[in-house]
Amino acid sequence: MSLVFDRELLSQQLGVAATEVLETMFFASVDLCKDEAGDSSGDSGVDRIGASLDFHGACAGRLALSLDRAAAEGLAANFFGGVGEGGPEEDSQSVMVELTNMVCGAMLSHLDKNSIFCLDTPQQLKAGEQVTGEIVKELTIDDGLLRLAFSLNASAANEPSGKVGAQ
Amino acid sequence: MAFDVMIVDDSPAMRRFIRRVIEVSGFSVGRYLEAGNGEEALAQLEHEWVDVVLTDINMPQMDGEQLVTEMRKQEHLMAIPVIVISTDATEARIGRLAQLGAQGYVTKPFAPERLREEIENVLGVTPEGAMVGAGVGMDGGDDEFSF
Repeated sequence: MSLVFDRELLSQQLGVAATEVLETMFFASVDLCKDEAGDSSGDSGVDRIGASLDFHGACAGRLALSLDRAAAEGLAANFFGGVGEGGPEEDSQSVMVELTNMVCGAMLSHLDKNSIFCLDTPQQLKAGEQVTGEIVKELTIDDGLLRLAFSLNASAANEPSGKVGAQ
Repeated sequence: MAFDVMIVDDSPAMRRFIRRVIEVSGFSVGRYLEAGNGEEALAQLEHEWVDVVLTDINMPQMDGEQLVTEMRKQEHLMAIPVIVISTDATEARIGRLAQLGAQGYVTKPFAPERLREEIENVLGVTPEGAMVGAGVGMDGGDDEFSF
């Protein structure tokens, strides 16, 4: 099965999915910041944590995201209703993993309601690992900047048509 | 009346969140059992009875679809209602889980009220103890609670 998506649609859906998840389950206030080229300039010089996951099914690819550490701790406190036994560091790491999982699932569900997809277990980003991809988006949430990157395998992202495809 | 609830999810964070939602919803819960995948859930259900199972789909070793399938095959488990909680909101997946025998489906992200409604529907009782008529949909979501 081959799916081809418009780059603009993907970018829009990425923002919609992330906003929906953040507002509904993390009780965060979200401002759409901007779309970026697929570089990693937004990550430099800030203490950030994040996660990434690969997905498969009718389309396959990867979603990664990262957030300022202090903002991640705030998100975790909202999500859990307080700080757990493992402390804010452990809470914020696990929340970034959950956020990645939910944003990816929400986005894929929006893109194609009739196909079944499978999400791998999200992995924490290594220290200094940067968030890059074909579609990069930034959202301001409370006091932090959430950076998201979405890529499809077998991509035709650079086609003049502006379509992003997956086999 | 207190209910016993099993939460099946490979993410401890999500199990913690779901438990918090149930607690805030006001349901009287006797015991929370937790499992990291379908295999662990079935192992516990061999010697524990619960009133409802809340399960994720994507999990290692045995996923949520396999868990529902196994529970519907086994006589001592087939009466336990299962609510699926998943990021997968595709109609294909929701339909498949219904065919396999899941009674409820909540897609992530969900507002706390949404999970409460689904539990009310499946258990047939509200947190306050009022009976919910079988097959009667909830009007839902108009009585917000502090979270």
